[in-house]
Amino acid sequence: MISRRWILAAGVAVVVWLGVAYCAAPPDAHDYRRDAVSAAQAALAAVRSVALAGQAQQDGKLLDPYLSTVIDDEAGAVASAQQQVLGQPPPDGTRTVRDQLLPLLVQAGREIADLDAALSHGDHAGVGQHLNALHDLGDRLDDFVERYQ
Amino acid sequence: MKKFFAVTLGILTAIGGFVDVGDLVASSLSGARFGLALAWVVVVGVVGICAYAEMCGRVVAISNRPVFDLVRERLGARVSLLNLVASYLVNLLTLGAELGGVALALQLATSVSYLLWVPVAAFVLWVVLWRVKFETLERVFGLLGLTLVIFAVAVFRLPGHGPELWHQALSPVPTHGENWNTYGYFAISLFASAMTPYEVFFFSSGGVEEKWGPRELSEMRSNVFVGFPLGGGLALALMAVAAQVYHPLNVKLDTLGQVALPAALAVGKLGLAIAILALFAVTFGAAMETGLSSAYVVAQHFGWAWGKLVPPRRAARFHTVLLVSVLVGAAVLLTTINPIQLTEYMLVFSAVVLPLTYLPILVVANDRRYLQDHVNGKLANTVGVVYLVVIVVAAVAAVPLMIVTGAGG
Repeated sequence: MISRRWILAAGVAVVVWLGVAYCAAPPDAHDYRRDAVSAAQAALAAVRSVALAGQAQQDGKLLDPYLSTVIDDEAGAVASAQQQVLGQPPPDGTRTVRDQLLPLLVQAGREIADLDAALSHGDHAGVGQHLNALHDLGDRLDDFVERYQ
Repeated sequence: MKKFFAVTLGILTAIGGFVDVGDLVASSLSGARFGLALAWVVVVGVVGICAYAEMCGRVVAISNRPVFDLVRERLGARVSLLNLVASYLVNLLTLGAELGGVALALQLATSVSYLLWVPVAAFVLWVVLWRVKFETLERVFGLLGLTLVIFAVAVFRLPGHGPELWHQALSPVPTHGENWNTYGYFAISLFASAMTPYEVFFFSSGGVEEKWGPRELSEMRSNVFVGFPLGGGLALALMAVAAQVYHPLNVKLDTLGQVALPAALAVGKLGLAIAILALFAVTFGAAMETGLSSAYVVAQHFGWAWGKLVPPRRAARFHTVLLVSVLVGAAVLLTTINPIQLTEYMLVFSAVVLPLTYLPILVVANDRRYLQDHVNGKLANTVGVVYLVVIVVAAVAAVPLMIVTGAGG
């Protein structure tokens, strides 16, 4: 009975070890592409949510604390997406994926920050300009996701 | 007239109290990703919770004892202990998620970080649970939860509420860019959000607190069979507005702020304010329910004095478990885990323990020693068994699907 228990415990330990080893392995090209798509989707969600919120603020539909929270949350989401992509070297054959995505993520962070500043200063022309830029950026991120998903 | 008023109030409370942070997150995330292609799961979940809540209510009304108490007596200490451990851990996760929802709603209203609100929310929760009467708690937050109706109003004020939503609801398959694994994962999350274990513990223990008897059976059934489906309708409204605003834009939701935005787009500042109030009310109300449920299950298992009607001095161990549960729930959040992710994990682990919650209820509801002539009929047993099969399938598939999809991707 005891030996059976030991065998069972050893079996569970081996399975857990294999699971940890699998999870800790460096990403292959497929994993890297999947992570890149995930980062692009996070940035896409952030860019389009901020664009919706910015337009709603222009139309007088939002409360200031709410807008501030949404912009902070989405800026944080874009920063996390950037870290996710920069945090691992691209395996062979995926350098193009990184080189296409990184500029989009950098632009996303910049446009969200610029829109926030324009909204804070009541710069209506600037807000309109950054909303257009966010819409365009959203389309490009969407294209990226479609291409690599 | 008084009876009519009581029934109406009970139904309204049940509607407002149905939705919690699990429903908010699961419905909104699903709506954004799949449109209304998973709306059928909400319907399935609501039918299931109605069937089992009615059994629980009947057990309480006839035996005057809560279900968890009878589970130990009927199935023995070992099964009961397994049930207790699983239910208590999931209750703790749920309590943490609800407190996170409260803190996030306060952040939306003030722009002060939710982490600073967590201790405040936990303290206020404990004070309210200590000082305020059970019926007042249930009524106030249940009725405040009705402000979620703002999302139903938003459905009709936003573009795309016509044939497109019907078409999505009638196409129960993964949408473009999604696969069956993620579809299954979100289906299980939605199902678990409707059938979260604390709901039946709170419902049955609350029945004892309110001293239900055979005369309250009709009132209990009207609350369950009218209130819960209408509450499910509010969950569908959350899904629909996410489907209208975010699904066409290919946006995946991951914040509570995104959940509230459709109300602002549809109704403006007033809509946004009502939506934030609704998010606060439903999560605070559910935090009270999960806090009490955590203490209920432990006290009932060990046979301690329990309940809001018993003076705290005579139910010291019950109140101690309550306090410790609230502290642990807050501590989980202060690790800085994202409350929305915590909610998603809570739903998966709820799905895993669902059989441990619902099988004993089915067994007790068929025991004539407790229910005499009010045991389950053929219909209740058929529905109960069919749902038990669904519950077991969901429990078995939950963790593998979470791993395969990376928690929904």
